Amino acid sequence: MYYILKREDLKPWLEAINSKYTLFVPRTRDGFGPYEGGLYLEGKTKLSAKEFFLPWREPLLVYEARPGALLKVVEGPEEERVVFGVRPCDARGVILIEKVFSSDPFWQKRREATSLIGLVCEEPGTECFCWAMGVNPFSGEGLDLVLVPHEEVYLVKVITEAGKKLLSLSRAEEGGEEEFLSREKEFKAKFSVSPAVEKLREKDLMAIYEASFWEELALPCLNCGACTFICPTCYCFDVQDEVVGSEGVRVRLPEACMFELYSRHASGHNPRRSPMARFRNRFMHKFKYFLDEYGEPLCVGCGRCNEECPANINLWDVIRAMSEV
Amino acid sequence: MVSALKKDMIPLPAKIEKVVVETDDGLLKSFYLRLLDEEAHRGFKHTPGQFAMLSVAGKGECPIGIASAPSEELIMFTVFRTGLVTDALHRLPEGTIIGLRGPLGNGYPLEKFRGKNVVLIAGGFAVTTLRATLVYLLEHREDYGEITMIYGARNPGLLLYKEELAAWRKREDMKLYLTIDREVPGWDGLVGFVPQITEQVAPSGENAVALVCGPPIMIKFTLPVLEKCGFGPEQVYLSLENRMRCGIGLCHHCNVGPFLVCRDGPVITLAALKRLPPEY
Repeated sequence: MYYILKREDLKPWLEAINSKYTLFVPRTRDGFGPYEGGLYLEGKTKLSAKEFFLPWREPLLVYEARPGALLKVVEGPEEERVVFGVRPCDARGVILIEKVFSSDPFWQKRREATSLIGLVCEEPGTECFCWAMGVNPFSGEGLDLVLVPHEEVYLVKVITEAGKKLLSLSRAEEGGEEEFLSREKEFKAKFSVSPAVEKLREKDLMAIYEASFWEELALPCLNCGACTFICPTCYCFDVQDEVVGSEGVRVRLPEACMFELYSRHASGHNPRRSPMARFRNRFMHKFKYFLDEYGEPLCVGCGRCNEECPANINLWDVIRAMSEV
Repeated sequence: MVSALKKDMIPLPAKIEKVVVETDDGLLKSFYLRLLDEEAHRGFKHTPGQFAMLSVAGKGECPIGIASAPSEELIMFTVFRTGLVTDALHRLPEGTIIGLRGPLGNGYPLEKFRGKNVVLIAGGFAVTTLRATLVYLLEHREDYGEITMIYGARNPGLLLYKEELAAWRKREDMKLYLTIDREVPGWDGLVGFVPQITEQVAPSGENAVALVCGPPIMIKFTLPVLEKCGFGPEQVYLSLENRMRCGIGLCHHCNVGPFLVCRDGPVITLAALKRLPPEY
């Protein structure tokens, strides 16, 4: 179902949502935060919506810090949350991670308690390429509602019942289907999936792995891990026991495959000792291992890695090399 | 409560009922565990070759192969003291409660081995899951052909499960070849590295499988010997180890290319391993 929401009706709607639920919005270019009136809608945020489902710190267990203490399960937050302004690429990231995490109870709990209101970009970005990775921003995949900025209004597509309920708090009126669909059609006609993805699908895994280009492409990489932490599809995590005084907690934290410690055994042996091996592993995971197992690349084309890489490494140099082995 | 079988990141409390120091250097101890929840303990069904995550509160978790056979009353792990968690574990007295998650991983396809000769080749403390396998095979003796075990350690003091070794040696329905790296006074068994002994024993690859567990260097030199004996890559089973955090296919630390050691392994045929990047 399609609706039209006037731009001036956006803030009153957010206020209405905020009075019933905990509302998060993009507050600055840096990322999301609780709604306090301010909005950053000019582009995507530096940090993706991934953090609502794989938070920076997920306590799993608590215990008394003494030998033999029983480990108690942390129940986690139950509060219903609404996140507004999620870019379709980020929503797709959630769907991709869910292919791996669907049975994880901590993930499930956060997913069930969170509604996502999507916002399509005003203009296709110059630094990003969601379409190349097969994202259709108008599909509403992973979202409860999707908003398309269109002239003086937002065209709204209702995806789920939860989304419909949220929209009922606004002054939106039915309509706009034709405009929505023509915008979608226009987008699809102009942008298509990168042929590199198809090529990667057909290439032999070991042929890509053993290719000679890796050394050269990995050379500038500092293994800093910035790309992994800001990536909306990177999901690796570390588990740490933190003890303060007599209280202990086991937490799950984002981790980066770029780090030497990531794969180092207790014996000291490390199957991915060289920085190149770790660089290669990240791209092989995204564009071959995941692609082969789940049928889609583990990338949504948000371009954050390209923008934030301190060594100016461009994803496309790697994809191109991989697909042309 | 059947959560012992549910694959999540929540360990079940388990009591250390017994600790046995296995080696002269004291670096290997066997921990015999009982899950506090009786039903969960009874419901703990594993296949030899599987592993579990052991938890020490305040230190963390680590993956350890299950050394007990499914029929045995207590769940047993023989642990090498080497890292943060194993070091803490070694300091715990009998009666302490720790956490256990498992069984995890695939284990050996023992049903598939029925009617075949089974050769177990172990080096050092990697013998643990092969001990579980051997106990299982001997309990189901009539289902299998010849059973041969070749087991080597650096010196006699580093051999695990010494009482059992003595009992297995006396059995007529299996062959046990024990070897140490260098001659030592008082040792009347074989002397030599595992690959050399395997070459002397020369088990036939006909209607047989070989299960090889040991340090990388031992595996490297044993594989060509097995090939010479007629074992094809589909007949050789290895067990991989990699650093891991979750043990259930989420954290991705243990990947060997697209293969997750915790989810797709740890047991893998040599044929499958040859198709993977060498990241183990």
